Amino acid sequence: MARSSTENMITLMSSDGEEFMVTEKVARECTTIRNMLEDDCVITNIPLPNVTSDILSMVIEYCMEHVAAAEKAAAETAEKGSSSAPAAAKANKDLEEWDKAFMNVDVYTLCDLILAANYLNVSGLLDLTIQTAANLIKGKSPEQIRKTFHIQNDLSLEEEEKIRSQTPWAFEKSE
Amino acid sequence: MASDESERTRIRGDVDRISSLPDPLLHHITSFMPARRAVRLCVLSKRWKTLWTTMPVLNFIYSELWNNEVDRYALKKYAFMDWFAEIVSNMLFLRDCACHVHTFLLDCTESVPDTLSGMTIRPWIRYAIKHNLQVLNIHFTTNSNFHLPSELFTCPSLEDVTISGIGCITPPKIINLPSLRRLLLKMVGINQDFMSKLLCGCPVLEDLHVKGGSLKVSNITSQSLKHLTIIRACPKGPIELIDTRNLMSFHWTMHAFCLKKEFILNMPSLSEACIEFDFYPRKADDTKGSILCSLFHVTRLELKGPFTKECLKIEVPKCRTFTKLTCLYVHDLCLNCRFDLLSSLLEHCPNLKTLSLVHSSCLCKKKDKYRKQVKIQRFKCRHLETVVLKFSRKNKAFYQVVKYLQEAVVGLSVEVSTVRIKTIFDDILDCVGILDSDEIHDSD
Repeated sequence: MARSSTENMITLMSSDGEEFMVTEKVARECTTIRNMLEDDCVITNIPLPNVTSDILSMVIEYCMEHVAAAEKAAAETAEKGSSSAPAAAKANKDLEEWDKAFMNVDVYTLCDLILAANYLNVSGLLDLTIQTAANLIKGKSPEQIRKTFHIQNDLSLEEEEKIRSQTPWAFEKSE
Repeated sequence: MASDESERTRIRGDVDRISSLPDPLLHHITSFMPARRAVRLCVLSKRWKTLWTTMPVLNFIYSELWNNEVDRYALKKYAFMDWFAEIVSNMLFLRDCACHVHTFLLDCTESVPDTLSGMTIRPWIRYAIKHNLQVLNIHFTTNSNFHLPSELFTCPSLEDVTISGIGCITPPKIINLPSLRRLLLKMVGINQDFMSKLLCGCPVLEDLHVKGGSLKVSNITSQSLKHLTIIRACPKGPIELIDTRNLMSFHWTMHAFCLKKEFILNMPSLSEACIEFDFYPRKADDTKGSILCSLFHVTRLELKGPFTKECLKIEVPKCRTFTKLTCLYVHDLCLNCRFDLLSSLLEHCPNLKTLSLVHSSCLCKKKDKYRKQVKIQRFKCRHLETVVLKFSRKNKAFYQVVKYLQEAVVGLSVEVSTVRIKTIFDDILDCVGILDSDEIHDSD
């Protein structure tokens, strides 16, 4: 894209002091940053004290991929006058595949991404990460969930029994 | 870098990060699961013990209780029903009543019809309404004896409501839903009294979706509606007026009743329309209303259903020009026969850019065999760029359409896709290659 060279660049600074140069369009994917830019349009340097550099670079990667996909779809629509359904469906599927591969991270990173997506207000990434976390819980026994997320069981056997007995209807009759 | 990475993994390896997320984010995660499964997380650790009591999204899904197909068909179904009621009642009773209910989903599909009485269900819905409810979803297979609580129709916080499978909505005395934006009614009976009260009492309603059920409504008037869908609803009387000046998209199934009387569609902002012709009289004398003429200003038009042909035959000659139309989809126009109808329709679409012809073989009648004598008229759409053909398989009709297009279309790129079979997709692409090169020569 020839246009991108003239586009405004924004510097995002992570909590550990690393700087990331991104186009304004990519930065605007984060609603939090978009609001800052709309409040004060001359701002070019944004410190993000709640996001570490490794997580921020992932968030930027996600935003860039989604901006690129949206631009590609828009260009195709402009070229043909209208988007053709099969091409759009394929592009969507490609992006879904990309998202899926992008979510191939350890649970620690996943939780960090949830926090960052929530703080920066990237709704697509928040939905993706939350859904991924929910899928990791789905169909697992409590013990398996603890193992997946490294949750320390600080309840004694008696306590756990007591909790279960308070909500017996929530557990399988056979359990 | 690599060792740095592995070091980090080692340190992080057994750190419990998820439990340190704030409550709203954990609630967001549990909003993707049935409520009972969210409650079960209480035994994970102290952090999770009471988390469920403050959840704002409650998904009660009956079919989630079965472990397997045997349960589904066994007599257990009745026992499960009691268990289901026990879960909902207990959860609502034990949860922190100071916390809002954002979403309340009650999915009783697959349940034994009419086993859950209104006496049981209404208090649940009342509870949700009293707790600042914004999204309500109620699904039954059929529950004809169920009446919605009257409080539902005066809930100030409701924004999005979906109701399916309750026999008939008894119109309440008053409807006042100041925040309602979206309403979806599926397999529900609606009468004029209800519709009038609804449209008067919902000042910001933008999206109204009626699917199946029965409809005894003669007029729909609203300033706020932007999307209106009325499909496959069994009509109990003719519609005379749809007056929606801000409507942008309109999806409608045409029934015999619709044409018994003159009807008026006033939708000046409309840009997308999809009309399904489930019926159209075969003789012009039998029609009083006209549907296509009312849609002359749309940019995207989709025509489908077995009676599309009849409609085009009668209405196209008296139709106005679709000056803004750029996308036209025609389904099941039994393309194997009526190219003349297609040509005459296209004469009214001078600015068309994309034409999609969708063909489902099951709807073709034998008597509609391709008539060789039909004189082929060239398309007069100068801006036409793409023709999309959607065929389930490469049958005789497909070749006829391609042959027809070769003669009728000048200087086009034809994009072809299939619905199901991939190997055929490649064959068809070859076909298009030939078509393309021929056309380039022809156009000079």
